[in-house]
Amino acid sequence: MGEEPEPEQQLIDRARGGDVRAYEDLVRRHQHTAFRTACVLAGSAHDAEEAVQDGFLKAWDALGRFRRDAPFRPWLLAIVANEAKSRRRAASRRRGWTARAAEEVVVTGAGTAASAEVTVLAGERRAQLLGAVARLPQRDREAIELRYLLDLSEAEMAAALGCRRGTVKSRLSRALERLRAEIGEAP
Amino acid sequence: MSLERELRELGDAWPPTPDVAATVAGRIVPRSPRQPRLLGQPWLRPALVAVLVLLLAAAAAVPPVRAGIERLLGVAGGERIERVDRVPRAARRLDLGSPATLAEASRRTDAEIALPGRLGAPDGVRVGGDLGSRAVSLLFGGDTVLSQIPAASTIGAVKQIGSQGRLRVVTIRGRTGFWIAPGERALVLPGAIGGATATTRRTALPGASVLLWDRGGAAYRLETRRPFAEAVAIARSVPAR
Repeated sequence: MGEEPEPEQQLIDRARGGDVRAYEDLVRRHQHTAFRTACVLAGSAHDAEEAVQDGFLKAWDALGRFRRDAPFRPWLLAIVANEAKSRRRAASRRRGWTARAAEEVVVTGAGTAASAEVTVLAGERRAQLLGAVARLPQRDREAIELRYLLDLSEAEMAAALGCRRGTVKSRLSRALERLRAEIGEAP
Repeated sequence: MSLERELRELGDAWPPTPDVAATVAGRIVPRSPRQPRLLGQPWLRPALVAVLVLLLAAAAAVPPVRAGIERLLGVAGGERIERVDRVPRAARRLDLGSPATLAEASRRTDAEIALPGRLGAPDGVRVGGDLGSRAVSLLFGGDTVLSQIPAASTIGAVKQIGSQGRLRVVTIRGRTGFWIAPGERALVLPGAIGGATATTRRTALPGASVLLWDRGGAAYRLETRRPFAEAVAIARSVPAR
């Protein structure tokens, strides 16, 4: 039996009191989601890594202003997202990581043995979907990636995108509509 | 299958998540914990002052045990990178060794010299110096020095960064590298850890940032006054030796 992980609220309280080790544990718990959110918004893994580091450092400085009764993850994602957005510069990067992932799937699919036809077909569908997501306008692409590929809640999406929950719903619905049109499926 | 479900299943296409927790913790400038209310009691203050005076007197009576509290951030470019609460004073700049041609440098160190594609041929070449007899340093335009050392011949120097020193972790061709801003930092050469200042060094170029990384059996150390993005681009343009 492993040791029970320390409750998050306890870690937050210790970190607010200046405990760097407690904050390191918090970072480790949230770095996965924070990194992927930053990938969506910065468009490259390299910029995302820097955004996550700088975002976590800013969050440390801002811990004293964090409301104790508020959920921690949306608050943190909002800070990391701001860092990631500020790094989104070159037009080529705005293609997003899904465009590169789609290319990788095509390459992998081409080399697969003919006997694994099902795998090839699944790979093609996957490449088609990733390619279609990558071709969406930036706002639609971000909404789809954060909601479905990263599985963020609407509240977390609102924090990351810097908008209200109602806006998240309408952006998502519009983005799905455009995606269906892109892959030639009826709504 | 619904489109939403298909999209959810694309989730495994993400790039791998880097573990940044230790690096973030290393970059944190520690702050004092909130003062407990007990310390606010007026009767306690004279007692605390007395204890503090006794502790300071005791500390002054014995030689310092170590220069500061170290926290390991990583190892790259032949240097161990540590966060310390007090950086040792370094008066001398890093000695890059004696001048040579590229061909001589390659012969003397028995290694091929990698030229960064972004900078082309160097304006000068140095061999040896503080980084060890097999270190080759390429000089570019007075604001950039790229040193390369076979991994087996690195001297085990320690880069110490103060609590206010800025540091960034970068990826150079798939390997972790460390970029260190000018400021509170010093290079401690072997044998000097513990506080002696004779073998601590400042950067060879005043006001330069340092980028450290490893690749293909060699350790690389870039000193440059160019901006962060340019330093990373130079590092990424170095081919394997």
